[in-house]
Amino acid sequence: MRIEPLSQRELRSLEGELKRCYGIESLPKDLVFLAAGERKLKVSRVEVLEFSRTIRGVVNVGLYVVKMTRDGSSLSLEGSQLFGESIKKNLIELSESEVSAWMTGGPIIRTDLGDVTYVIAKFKNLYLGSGRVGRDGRVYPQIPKWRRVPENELD
Amino acid sequence: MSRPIELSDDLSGLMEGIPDMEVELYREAITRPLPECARVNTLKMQEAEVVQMLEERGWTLRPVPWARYGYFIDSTEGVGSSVYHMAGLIYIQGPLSMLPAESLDVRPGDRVLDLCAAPGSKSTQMAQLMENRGVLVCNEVSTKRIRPLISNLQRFGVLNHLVTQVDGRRFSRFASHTFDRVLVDVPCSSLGIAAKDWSLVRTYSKTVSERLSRLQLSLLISAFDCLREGGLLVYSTCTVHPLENEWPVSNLLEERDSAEVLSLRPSVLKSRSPLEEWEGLTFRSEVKRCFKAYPYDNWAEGFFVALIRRGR
Repeated sequence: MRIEPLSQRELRSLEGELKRCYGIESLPKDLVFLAAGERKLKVSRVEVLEFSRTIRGVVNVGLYVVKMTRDGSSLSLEGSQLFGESIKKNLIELSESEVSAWMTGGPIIRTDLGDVTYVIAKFKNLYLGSGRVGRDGRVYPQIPKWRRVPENELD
Repeated sequence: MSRPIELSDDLSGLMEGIPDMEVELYREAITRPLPECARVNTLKMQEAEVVQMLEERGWTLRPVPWARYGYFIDSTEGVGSSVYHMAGLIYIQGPLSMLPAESLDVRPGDRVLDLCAAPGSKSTQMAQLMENRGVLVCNEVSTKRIRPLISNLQRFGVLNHLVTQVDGRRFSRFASHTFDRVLVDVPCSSLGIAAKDWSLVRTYSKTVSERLSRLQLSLLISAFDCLREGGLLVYSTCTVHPLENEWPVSNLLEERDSAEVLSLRPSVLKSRSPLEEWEGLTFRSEVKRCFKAYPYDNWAEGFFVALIRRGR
């Protein structure tokens, strides 16, 4: 498995995109960003990446954080938690009942978001990844199926 | 009154042959549900914040005295399908299962190997204790078990990991003298966690332990050879069988002069002295320094944990 970090040019492009979408001013300096296919990006540490080149049988490196799409960038739950307080715009606060709905993959109603494609959801200091803003005034969480709470588990 | 769980003939024979085993207490222990427990994920939020969030939700939490960030949980909602589990704020793990990684004394910046890592309970625990710094290699030979391992590392927010798929018995061929810490939580007959699955005791055959013990010894030797001088290794099982516990550790001491067993007796846990001999086999006296608990000792899982240092 060959794993390469993003080039300086790609990093500048990512930084610009995250600033445009979420107001994130800069990328963490102690992490490396890796291309993971399907326009997904992961983060890891320099020493992990270096070590991965010295041993056999490597099948996975890094934490999935961002998916780039044609009209924006979607952060995973872990990606949004990683950037955390540096997210300055397109951030919505959820109530406890909305958190439950969000984690089932169900939409949240927000009619005041204007012309944006993605927002990030937050409950207290827990960041819950990106949601896609629909024209119908709903935000559709981008929670992968394996992370969703089964609806019948909610009270 | 419910019918007692039937043990297979081989298991009944084994239990009768273990001198300090109280068979009726063992039967009782495996009929009781294991205590519900989880670790709070400090890689995502502060421990106190998560605890407060869960208590506001109506959960009752009581710290596990022998494991940082571990809690016994009393909740009316399903912990495993809760928002907090899915969001990665907690990791469900048995209380005794937290002991091996806790005993290994991993530090931020260490180079750590988890040789049999799936599904990732102990890997995520070590990542937490490493504060996401250093290098954590999570190895798993089984293709089927790699996916849940990677999913759990993702859910928990572990960013200092890499996952390898190598037969653990051969890992030391290309990684000898490489790691500061190695955990080898070997495949075992799981007789210490039979409360999770009664078929384990109903169908147990002694050939299972005989076959596993040879694999366990090979894994343990490979794990030990991956250690740097002065490094620490934890060998653990969730079974009560001497052939899978005392025997591999004793044989490692025979095979590797630089292996030294350190004493492991957490005062907050009930434990018992490992055996010096069993069924004609004699074990090295240092094996008595290992931790051993049967399921009824703490009314939780049965576990065996050996803490081993590589000397010069």
